[in-house]
Amino acid sequence: MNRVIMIAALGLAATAAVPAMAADVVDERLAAYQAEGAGPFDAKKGKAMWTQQFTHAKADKPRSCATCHTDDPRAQGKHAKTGKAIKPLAPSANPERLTEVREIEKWFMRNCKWTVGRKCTAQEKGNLLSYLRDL
Amino acid sequence: MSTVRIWDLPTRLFHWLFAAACVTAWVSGDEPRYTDLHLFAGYLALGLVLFRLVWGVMGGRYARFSQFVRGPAVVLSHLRHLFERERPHEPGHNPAGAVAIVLMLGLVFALGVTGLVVLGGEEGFGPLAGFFTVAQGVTLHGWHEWLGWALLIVVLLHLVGVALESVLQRRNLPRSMVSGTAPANKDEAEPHNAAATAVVLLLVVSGFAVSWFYPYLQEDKEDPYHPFVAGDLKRNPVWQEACSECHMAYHPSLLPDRSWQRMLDEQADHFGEDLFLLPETVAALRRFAAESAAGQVERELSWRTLHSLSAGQTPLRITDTPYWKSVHREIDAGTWKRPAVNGEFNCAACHQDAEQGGFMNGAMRIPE
Ligand code: HEC
Ligand code: HEC
Ligand code: HEC
Repeated sequence: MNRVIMIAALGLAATAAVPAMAADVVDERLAAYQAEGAGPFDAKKGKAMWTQQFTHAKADKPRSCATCHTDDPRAQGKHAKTGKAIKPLAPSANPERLTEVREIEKWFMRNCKWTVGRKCTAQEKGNLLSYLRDL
Repeated sequence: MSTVRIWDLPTRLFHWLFAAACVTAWVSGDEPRYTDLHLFAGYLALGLVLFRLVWGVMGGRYARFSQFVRGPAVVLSHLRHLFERERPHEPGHNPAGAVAIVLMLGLVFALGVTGLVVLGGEEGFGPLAGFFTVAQGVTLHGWHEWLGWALLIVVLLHLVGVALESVLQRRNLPRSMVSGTAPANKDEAEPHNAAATAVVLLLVVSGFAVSWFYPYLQEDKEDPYHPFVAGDLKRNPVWQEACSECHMAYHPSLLPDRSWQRMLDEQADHFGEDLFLLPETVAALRRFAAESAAGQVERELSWRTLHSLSAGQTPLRITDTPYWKSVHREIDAGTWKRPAVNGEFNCAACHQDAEQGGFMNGAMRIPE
């Protein structure tokens, strides 16, 4: 946690252009999910969901978040279909992550539908963000 | 008879440079990768034709058109008496050879001019860029190729003629074109070698070659030299961001507007992904597609893509268009599966300027 703040602070100091810190944005999201009736959030459950294999009608093979982002969100990933490199997702490895509400929600929409076959619930999103933030 | 000078130095230098330029242009013409070399050879050949026209008026005795260009009657009579033992002694070009020379100069001039129209019309480069449409460029591309075949035939006839004359007259014509000398009477000799003119010609050609190829000496793996950079292709930040997240952003000029509009209509099932694009994003993307799609811009690849489709076809994949298929038909199935390529849609694996929307000749490398 300290490390996240330190890296984020360093990033902020070095480039005044960094718009927000992941920790603040995640806190804001968790509060919003709570307002929808979810919580408390559990990073362990988020971690379990990260590698959970989902099978659904559209998928020929079981899918998980790790399919594109690898088992370790701090590592560089690769888009399962196009092969395009995906920069690390955990803010500890990539301070630009989880800094924009619009990006987070857009990718939750896309990736949950693709991976799980439906929207993620506020509870699931809160668990996942807690997991990613604490890495 | 003794051995005397027949060809002055500029004529000989011209001959071999011209031959080298024509061969180079011929072998590099079909490979988009070598377009830059083709253009160099083409400009060189065209410049040499112009030099030869001047030299044919101001040059040495046997270099002048007035000395060797003869009417059809003389040419026919020459051919009729070709195999006779006693033929009039002719130190310079013989009448049949002269026909080949005039044809070669004329054809290369026409190749140069049509080539510049193709370059200007199809690619938007060169001195004629902006003066011709893609459609005109494509038409003259056909002519340019026919002229190339015609030149090949005349060159082959010229070679046969040289070989035949060398045997019939027991004198080595190609060697004369190197040494400049041939058996003739003393008063038939070429008085001037015009070495100074030859040196100037050589300097101009070398300077041109160095300035053309110098950037290649400076390129490296990270920063390869691309002789052609797509000109003023319109870019759009919304498109660039929204469409580069899962794959490179394909420039709208790669497909007709109807394809992009359909793709945005169907954004909830974009090749298995739901894009969840916001309405205002979709509106901005639609506007950009409408102004930059194939049919809206003068680009060869857009023109060819559009013309390969029938009006009813609305492909969602660039790789489904007949044009795309035809330019890639020689690439075998194994190549697409290489990890470094990873599929047909991954244009940037082979087209180093794909991200900029270029797809220009000379920027293609198939990775191992
Ligand atoms: C089909 C491939 C794929 C799968 C599977 C996938 N993602 Fe992603 N994800 C992406 C891509 C591509 C991006 C955008 C990368 C970029 O911006 O460079 C992304 C971005 C994100 C972001 C946005 C981070 C930010 O702030 O920039 C989050 C959060 C995220 N993914 C979470 C998940 C979760 C949770 C799962 C599992 C439910 C998941 N992803 C599964 C491809 C995938
Ligand atoms: C969420 C990920 C994602 C985003 C964002 C996305 N695409 Fe795609 N796109 C894909 C996938 C996956 C494919 C299919 C790749 C394959 O062939 O397997 C694809 C294929 C394509 C193709 C077909 C390529 C071909 O010729 O084979 C086009 C064209 C295309 N996308 C255009 C767009 C445009 C325009 C946008 C922006 C509005 C966009 N894409 C945004 C995932 C995405
Ligand atoms: C495996 C490597 C590879 C990939 C991937 C690839 N191309 Fe090509 N492309 C080539 C080669 C090689 C040629 C030249 C073919 C020839 O010799 O005429 C070419 C030619 C072309 C040309 C014609 C250029 C010209 O002026 O003659 C266009 C346009 C083009 N490609 C577009 C695309 C697009 C768009 C994509 C992605 C959807 C793509 N290519 C993907 C290798 C590739």
